[in-house]
Amino acid sequence: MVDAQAPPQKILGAVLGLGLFEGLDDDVRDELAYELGLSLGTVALAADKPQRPAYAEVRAFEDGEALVHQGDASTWFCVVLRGSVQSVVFGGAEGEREHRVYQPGEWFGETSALSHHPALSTCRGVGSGAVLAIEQRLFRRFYGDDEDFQERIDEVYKKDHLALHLLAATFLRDLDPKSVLRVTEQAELVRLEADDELFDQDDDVERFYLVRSGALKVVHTNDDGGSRVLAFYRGNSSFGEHSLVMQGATWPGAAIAETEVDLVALPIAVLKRVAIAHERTMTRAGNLLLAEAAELAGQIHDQAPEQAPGRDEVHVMVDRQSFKGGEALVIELDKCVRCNVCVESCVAVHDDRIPRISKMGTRVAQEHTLLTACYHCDIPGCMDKCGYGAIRRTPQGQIQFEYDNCVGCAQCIDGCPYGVIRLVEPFDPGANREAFDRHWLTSIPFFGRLFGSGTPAKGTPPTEVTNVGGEDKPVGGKTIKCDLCAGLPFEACVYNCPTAAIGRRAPETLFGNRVGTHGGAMFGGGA
Amino acid sequence: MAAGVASGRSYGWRSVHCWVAFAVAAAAIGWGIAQGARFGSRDPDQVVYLLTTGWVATAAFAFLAFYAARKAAHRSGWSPEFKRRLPLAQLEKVQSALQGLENEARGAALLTVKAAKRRATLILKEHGASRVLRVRVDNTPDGVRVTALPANAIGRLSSWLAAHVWWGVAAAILVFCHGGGRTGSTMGLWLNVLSALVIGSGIVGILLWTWGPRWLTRQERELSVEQALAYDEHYARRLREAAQAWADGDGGGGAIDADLRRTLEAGDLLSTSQLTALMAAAPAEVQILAQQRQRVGAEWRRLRAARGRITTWRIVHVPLSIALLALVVVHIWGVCSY
Repeated sequence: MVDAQAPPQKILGAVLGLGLFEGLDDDVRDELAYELGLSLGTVALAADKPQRPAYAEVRAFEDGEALVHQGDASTWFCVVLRGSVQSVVFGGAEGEREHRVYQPGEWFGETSALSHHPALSTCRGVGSGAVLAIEQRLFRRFYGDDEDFQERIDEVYKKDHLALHLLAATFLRDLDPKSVLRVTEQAELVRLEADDELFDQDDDVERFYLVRSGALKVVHTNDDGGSRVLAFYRGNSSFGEHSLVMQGATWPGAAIAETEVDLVALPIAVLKRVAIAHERTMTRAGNLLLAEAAELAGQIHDQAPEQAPGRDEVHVMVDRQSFKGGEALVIELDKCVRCNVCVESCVAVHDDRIPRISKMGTRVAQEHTLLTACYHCDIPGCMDKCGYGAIRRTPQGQIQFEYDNCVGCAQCIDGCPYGVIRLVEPFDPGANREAFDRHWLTSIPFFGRLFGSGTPAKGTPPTEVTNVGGEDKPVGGKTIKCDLCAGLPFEACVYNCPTAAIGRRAPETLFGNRVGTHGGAMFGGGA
Repeated sequence: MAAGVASGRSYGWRSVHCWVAFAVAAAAIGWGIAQGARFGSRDPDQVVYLLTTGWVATAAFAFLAFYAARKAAHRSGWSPEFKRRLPLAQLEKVQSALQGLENEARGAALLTVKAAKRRATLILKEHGASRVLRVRVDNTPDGVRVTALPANAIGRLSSWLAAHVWWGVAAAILVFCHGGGRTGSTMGLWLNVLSALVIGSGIVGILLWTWGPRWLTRQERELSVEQALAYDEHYARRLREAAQAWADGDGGGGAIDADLRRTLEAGDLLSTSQLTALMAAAPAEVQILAQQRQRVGAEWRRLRAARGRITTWRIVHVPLSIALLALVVVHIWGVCSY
């Protein structure tokens, strides 16, 4: 056990001595020691460099203090160092129940860290104590690089957390925890490399799958050799449910991994035995799947041009927009008078006077434009790529850029599938005095303070920063994107549109009845 | 307005301002009729009516001006709301606390929507976020959902536009009730003329902004307005650079005369003779760019003209509104002085 107030060396020694980290590769242990050293102050970045947050830190907690709330978009993996942490699950028939209590050396949060799933339970302190918190980028590096680490995480996931993860799937939400636990005993963890095939078209459905991380697609091949992507499944999506209500169900297409994929596979026979005992589950599954089956049948067999998903829809939803996305900024063209106030408002909100949105966007049919603006994705490719702690996530899931930590490496631009991130010159207030000097309105006695204080927002950024591992990189610029005007009492573009033409919408809602309420499952949203 | 009514837009009949403004106007008309329908009369028994309708009309005009002020305040960044920025760390604490409340509401606590809203409002107050955020609490099949939304303290601009439209219509009615359309004096003449022009151009604006966007969208064929502008600038630059490179290289110097050079520098479309001269002598790359430039440039100009048709009314409406407001001030000063 270790106290958060203990000397740094003692903390470091205790952490590295934990069962989870024993015997791991030296690289992993060194990296953990470096990050922990940054947070404890035994390792320091140079004074003229941005003091980026460490990717590992010790956090103390008090009795009853919530370390994370169920539903928070948490990205931290936590190991209990001292004291106990109670995990409580809200919702379901019981309303609120204790999942378990974590003792020193035990951990939680790996599901969120791996798959960007919102926290599965509320974890709060029992008495005072401390946890080691590892940020998801570091965690995923350990998970990907060290097999021993991966094995230990997977073992506990399967035993303790898989049941919670399965309950998050729409399909299984109504099962009681004991039934889900029985199911998880038969679960198998599957890992695929990119381009591996999970199953082939027309294979019998023998297993139900839940995606932990990565993404794969289901491709249907026609008799004439043409192919169509039926669905993408990403983190926290599930598929195979249809076999519960259909006799002799087969896969409508071949499943091919788009990236490295981690999956949970459950035998359908086991699932059936449990699900049959729960009428509500079966009814929900049946309704969901019959609707999907009808849609799927129309797409594959009838192939009526006006019923099949149009090229635009597939392009927008699958290739461009909905693959990983959250809510999109949409302009209704029948209301937009092209006054450009949305862009001008965005300029007014930001000190560097660069708009974060572009109306060029993607035209969806005739009526809507999907603006080039951050979707605040459920699974943010940009955050996964950033190695400088410059991209973080709020509990509500909004993706925020830490301007001061950005070195302009542009990896986030590569990671973003929607092209909404821009690289610009670092904002130097000294070179743009007019931009932030006191506006003449602020000089009015007494009333002037209503219009601001005229102080510059940021200092001149330094030219270098140290990344994880100690390698120096020059600052090539700063990346910017829509930040939802975080912290301001309005979202500027939406707030200032005179005709209410602009707003945030889930992309699939743009396609009306064709996708409807079941489109989420078809296009990758089983959870 | 009819289109606005039909489409139920923000400035349609669903706006509360529609009903309030018309109630005020109806009251003014009713009162006037009750007094013998002597609109604009200066008889002693009409003074109260005259002054009341005058002041209410003035208030309506001032209210109309607030729309412009509200718009300008945000475009320029000098609305007081800009001062209310909450640090990100504080915002995250609020979000987390609200998530905790939502969990509790779905758990054993089983809070009602009202109780959840009360608790949520308290959370905002405790974290100093009540001027930045507001909460919406909904009952969903999965339980109570607590959503933090921006406070939108002074209201969305679309709401202000609704107020502007309906109070503008009411102002027209009030002006008639006040002045009766009389043009006996120079001031009366100008007030009536300006009022008619401002309100008339405003009504034209409503119609254009209601039907215009759909028409404009249909005008956009391969390129949208924004894309056409971006590509116009892009191809103008590329053509300029390619032509310059050719002129600086071998054999190009003679074909680019000063006139053509000026046109290229200015980013204007080439005239027929200029295009012919370029196509006759330039290498393939410059020819292709020139053709693309002409096509995209023509498309941009076409769409720009189309967009202008639905926005040009403001060239009449805005300056005349300012003139009318100034004249109203003079009129009030005159009435008070004399």
